[in-house]
Amino acid sequence: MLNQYFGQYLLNKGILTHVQLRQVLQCEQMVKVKLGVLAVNAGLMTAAQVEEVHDLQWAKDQKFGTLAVKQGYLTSEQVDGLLESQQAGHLTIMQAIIDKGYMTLVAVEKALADFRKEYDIKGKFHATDDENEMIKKLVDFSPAGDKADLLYNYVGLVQRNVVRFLNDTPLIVEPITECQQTPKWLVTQEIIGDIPLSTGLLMDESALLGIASHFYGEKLVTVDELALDSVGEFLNVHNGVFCSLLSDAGVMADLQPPLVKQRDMSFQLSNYRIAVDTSFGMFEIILSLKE
Amino acid sequence: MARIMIVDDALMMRMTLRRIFEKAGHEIVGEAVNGEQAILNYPQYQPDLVTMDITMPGLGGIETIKRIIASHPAANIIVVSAISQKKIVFDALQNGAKNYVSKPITEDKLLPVINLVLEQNGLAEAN
Repeated sequence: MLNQYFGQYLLNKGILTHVQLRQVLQCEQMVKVKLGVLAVNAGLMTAAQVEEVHDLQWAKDQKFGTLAVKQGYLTSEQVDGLLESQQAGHLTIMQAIIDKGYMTLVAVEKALADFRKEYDIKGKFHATDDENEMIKKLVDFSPAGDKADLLYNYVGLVQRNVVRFLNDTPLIVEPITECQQTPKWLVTQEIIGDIPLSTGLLMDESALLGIASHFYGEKLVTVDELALDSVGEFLNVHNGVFCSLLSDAGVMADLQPPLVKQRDMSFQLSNYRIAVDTSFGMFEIILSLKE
Repeated sequence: MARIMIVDDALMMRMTLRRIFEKAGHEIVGEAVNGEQAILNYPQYQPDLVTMDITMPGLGGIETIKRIIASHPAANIIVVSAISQKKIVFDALQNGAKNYVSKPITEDKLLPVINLVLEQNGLAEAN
């Protein structure tokens, strides 16, 4: 996760271009070792225990280490030790940046120091809290007032679920301009209950097929019922986790079935649009709080 | 081998579940894309087990479970849903569902629950 946000920082500061960053993240992706693998390698957990924690992780949106401790498979000290060895992996992104000639080691060192200072990262990167702080620097939900945190949490969860369910590294980028002629697909789902929220994902055909393929687990090449349903299910599963988290916080929330259609020009893209780039294309998160 | 009916409005989910079940040696005797179709199909297929989504257009999963159980009290229904709030899980079980699996589905998550329900209802094959 630290790699993802350091990369986001370099993109936002204009130090790396979008294309350069994608190439660097591809190198990092190839050698990223997950905590579960490290735990098995260290003889601290069995593969079955790791799978059990992964299942809980999807449903509960909690860190692997947190859940492994709760289940009694690891101690806090063991998690710290595994995290130390995992975070050494962030060196891969720095090495890739240098190897490709995009920055010198001195420049990387300065950018990393500036990044840590700007986001007040003194020691370990504490996901969720630190992630939300970073999202606040990229997206402005302040007009939502006391509901702003809800929206920040939603976007943070989208980021984490792109990693979990699509196995990709999302980057928040500039919104897509309206004048583009590329046909768009719109996946929507209403969250009803104490805080009604309209949610949606807007994307072109390439991104739709990318999300559908990654979520379904097989390459899909045609925008047919299977591809459309796969994207709808991705949003449905994501929103299901979000509603669970709301429910745990005492907020009643339920879901309407997702809908997928080609965007028509009469559709009002209201309130908030957050553009997210992935290795298979760009999509926009569309959020609208209902009165 | 169990005879299973899958109820989910998403083709992707029906195909994923079919793939998992058929690989495990079960037979898919029918599918339904919504609650109304599930209620109509149940007496025709008489499945050993039904997987039921909750969030569907028209008649939702909880109401569908209630109506199937009302006319077929021995029906074995397992909820497979993206929603996993305690209240909804409780409602499903109170209305007759035997167990609950949250999406996204994996073989390792789904099959143990299926096997448990089949065993509890005397439908599992002897080893």
